[in-house]
Amino acid sequence: MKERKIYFIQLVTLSFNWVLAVSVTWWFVHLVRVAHELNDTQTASISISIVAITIFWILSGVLTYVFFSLHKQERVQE
Amino acid sequence: MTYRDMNDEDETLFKPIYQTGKNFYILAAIFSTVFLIGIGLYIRQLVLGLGVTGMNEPVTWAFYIVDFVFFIGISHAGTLISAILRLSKAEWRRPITRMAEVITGIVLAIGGLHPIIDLGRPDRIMHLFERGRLQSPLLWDVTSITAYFTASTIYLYLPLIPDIALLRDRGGKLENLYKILAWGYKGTPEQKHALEKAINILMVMVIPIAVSVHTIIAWIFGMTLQPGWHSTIFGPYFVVGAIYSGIAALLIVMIVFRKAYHFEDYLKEIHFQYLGTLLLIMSLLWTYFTFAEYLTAFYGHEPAEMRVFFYKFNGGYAPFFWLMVFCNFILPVVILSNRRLKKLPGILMASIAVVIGMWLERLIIIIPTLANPRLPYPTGVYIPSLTEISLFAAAVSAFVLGFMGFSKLFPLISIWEIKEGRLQSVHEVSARLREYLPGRHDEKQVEATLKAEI
Amino acid sequence: MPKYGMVIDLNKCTSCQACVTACKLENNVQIVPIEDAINGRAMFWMKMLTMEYDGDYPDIKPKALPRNCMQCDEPPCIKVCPVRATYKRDDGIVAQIYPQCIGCRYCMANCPYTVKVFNWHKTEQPQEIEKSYNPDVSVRPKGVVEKCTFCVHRLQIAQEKAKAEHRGLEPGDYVPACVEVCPVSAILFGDLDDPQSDVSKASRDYRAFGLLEELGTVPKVRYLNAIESEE
Repeated sequence: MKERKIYFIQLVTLSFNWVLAVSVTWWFVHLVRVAHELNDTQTASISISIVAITIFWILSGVLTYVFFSLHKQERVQE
Repeated sequence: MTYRDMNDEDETLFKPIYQTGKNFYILAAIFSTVFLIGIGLYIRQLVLGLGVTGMNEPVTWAFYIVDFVFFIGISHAGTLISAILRLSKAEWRRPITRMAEVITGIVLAIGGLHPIIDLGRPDRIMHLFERGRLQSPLLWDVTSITAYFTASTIYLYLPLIPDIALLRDRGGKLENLYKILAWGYKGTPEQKHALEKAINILMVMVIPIAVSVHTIIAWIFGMTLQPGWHSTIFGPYFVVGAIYSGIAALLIVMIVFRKAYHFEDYLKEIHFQYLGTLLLIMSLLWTYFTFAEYLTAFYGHEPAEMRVFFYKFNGGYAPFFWLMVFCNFILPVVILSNRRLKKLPGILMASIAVVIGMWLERLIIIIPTLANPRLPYPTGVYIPSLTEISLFAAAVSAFVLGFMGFSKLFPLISIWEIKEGRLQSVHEVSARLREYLPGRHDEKQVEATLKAEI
Repeated sequence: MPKYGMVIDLNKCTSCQACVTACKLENNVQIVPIEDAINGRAMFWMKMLTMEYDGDYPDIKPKALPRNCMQCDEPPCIKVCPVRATYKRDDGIVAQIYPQCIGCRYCMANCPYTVKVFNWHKTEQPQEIEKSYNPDVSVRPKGVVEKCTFCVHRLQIAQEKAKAEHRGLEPGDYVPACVEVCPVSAILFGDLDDPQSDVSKASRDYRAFGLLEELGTVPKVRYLNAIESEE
C-alpha cells in the first residue's frame, strides 16, 4: 500500500478521537442549555461538564501530539 | 541498537499471532455458541419485554445491574497494574501490563452495554442525549464510563505502538494493518521520548478517572434513600472491591494464557507471588470495609436497616452472604498467607474464589435492599430467569472471545518492555538503588572506593 | 397556583378497596396474568397496605391504609430520573411522561414508598376490559414506569370545562376516581394552599401524619390516625 494512502487512513483513525471530543462537548453544552430552559438545578451540570469536556480534549490532544511527533521523525529522516 | 536486531530472542511471544492450534478453534466455537444463544435470548427480550426476566416489584434491579457493576469492577485490573505500577516504577510489571490493559478495554465495553440490556425501552436511548439530566447519577455514570473507556483504550494503544512496529517489520501476515496502526514508529530516540511522555501523561490521568468510575457507580446506589444503600462508605468500598476483583481476574487470565501459550519463561513464579501478595492485601482491605459497613449498621440498629441486615445475615440471603465471606476473606487469606499454599494452583483457586465472591457481593448489595422496602410489603423474592443467566454466560464468553481475538493480532506480553527491561532497566534500577543509600553516588568515586577496598 | 393534596381519614376507612378498583379501571391499568401477579408484578396504583396487626390470635385486627403515590413535595424519584420522564408540576402533581421514559427503573429503586409500577409485559386484556377503557387516559406501552397521577386527566377536563363556561375552577370540579367512589368519603382532596378547603384543614388536624415523614419527602397524601376505641 502506498505511503500516502496509509498516512491518510492513519489520519482518519486519529480523527475519530476529535469527533468524540467535539460530540461530547456539544452534548454537554446541549444538556446544560436544556436544564437551564427547564429551570433544573444547574450546579451539578456545569461542574461535571467542565471536568468531562476537559478530559476528552486532553486525551485528543495527547493522541494528536503522539501522532505528529512520530510522523515528524519520518519526514526528518527523509 | 534498533529493535530490528532483537527479533528472535522473544519468539515465544510472537508465536500465538502466527500459529493457531486446534484447541483454539474448538474453544472459539464453544464460546461463540454460548454468545449467540445469549444474543438470541436478548432479542426475545426485546420483543416480549423485560417480563422474561425474573424482576418484579419490589426487586426492580437484578442480574443485569449486578453483572454491570461486576464487569466494570474488573476493569480496575488495568489501572492498578499498568498505571500504578508504572508510576511507582515497579519493574516486575513488565510482562503483565498488556494483559491488564486488554482486560480493562474488553470488560468496559461489555459492562458498559449492560445498562442498555436492562432498559425497558432501549429504542429510546437517544433521550439520554437529547434531554438527559446531568443531575442524575446515571448520567454521571455514562460520562465517566465513556471517559474511562476512551482513556484506557488510548492507554492500551500507546504502549502497543512499538510492538505493532515490531510486527510490521517482520512482514507477512496483516502487514498493511500493522503499517496503518504503527503510526510510523521507527524506534528513534525522539519518537521513543514522545511516546514515553504521552504514556506518562495517560498513566497519571487514568488513575483518577478509574477511581471516579467506580465511585460514581457506587453513588448510583449511595445517592438513593434506601436502607443498606444510603451509606457514605459506598464510594471507596466499591473502588476497593473493584481493584480486588480486578487483580483476581488478571491472575486467572495470566495463569490460563501462560499455560495455553507457553509463557512460563516470562510469567514467572515471582510475578504470581507479588500479585498474590497484592491480592492478600486487597482481601484484608475489603474485609475491613465490609466489617466497618455492617458493624455501623448493626450498632445503630435502625429498623429499616436491620431488616436488610438480618435478611443477609440469617435470612433468605444468608447462604449467599456467608459464601461470599468464605470466598472473599477466608479462602484467599488462608491460601495467600501460607507459603506452602501460595503456589500457582493455590493462587488460581483463590482468584477464582475471589471472582465468584465479588460477584456475590454485588448481588448481596443490590437485591436484599430492594427486597426489603421501608413500608411493610411482603419481602420481595427474585428468581433469576434463563434469559438473565444466559446473558451473563454470553458476557463472559464475549470477554474470552475478545481476549482470544486480541491474542491473534497483537502480542499478549509487551515485547518492547521486556527488551527494554533487559537492556536498560538493570542499570537504571542499580543507579536508583545507589541514590537511596547514604553517601555520594558519583560512579567514579564508587569504583575508586571499591578498588581501594580490594 | 393550587397545590393539590389528599387526606385519608383512617377512622372512616373500612378497607373495602373500592378506591383500588376504581383507580385501576379509571386509569386503564393493565391486568397481569396470574403467574406474574404471584411473582409480584400485579399492577395497582392504589394499594391497600396492611401496616400492622393488632391484638392476639384469634382476635387479630389488621390495620390497613389505602396507599397511592404520596405526590411528595420533595420527590426522591424525580432527582434520579436520567431523562426527565418524571418531574414535579407547578400544581404539585408529580407527573410521569410515558413517551419519555426509557425504562431504567431508577425512580422505582429510589421511591421509599415503592409506589411505582412497571410494565413488564404487554398482555392481552380480557375483552370486557378492552371495551371499558377510559378514552381520556393513554394505555402505556411495555417497558415504561407508571404511577398514580391524582387522575390528572380529570383536572384537564375540568379546566377545559371551566374555560368553556368562562369561570374559574371550583372545588369539587376536579376529584380523582378514588375520592369520588369512596362510600364513606374517607378521602378528602383539594387545594392544600387554600386555608378554607376541607383538605387543608384536615391536613392540620392533630391526628394528621404522613408516611415516612422523617425522610424529608414532604408527602402531600396525609392520613388521619384512627381513633382507638376502649374495649
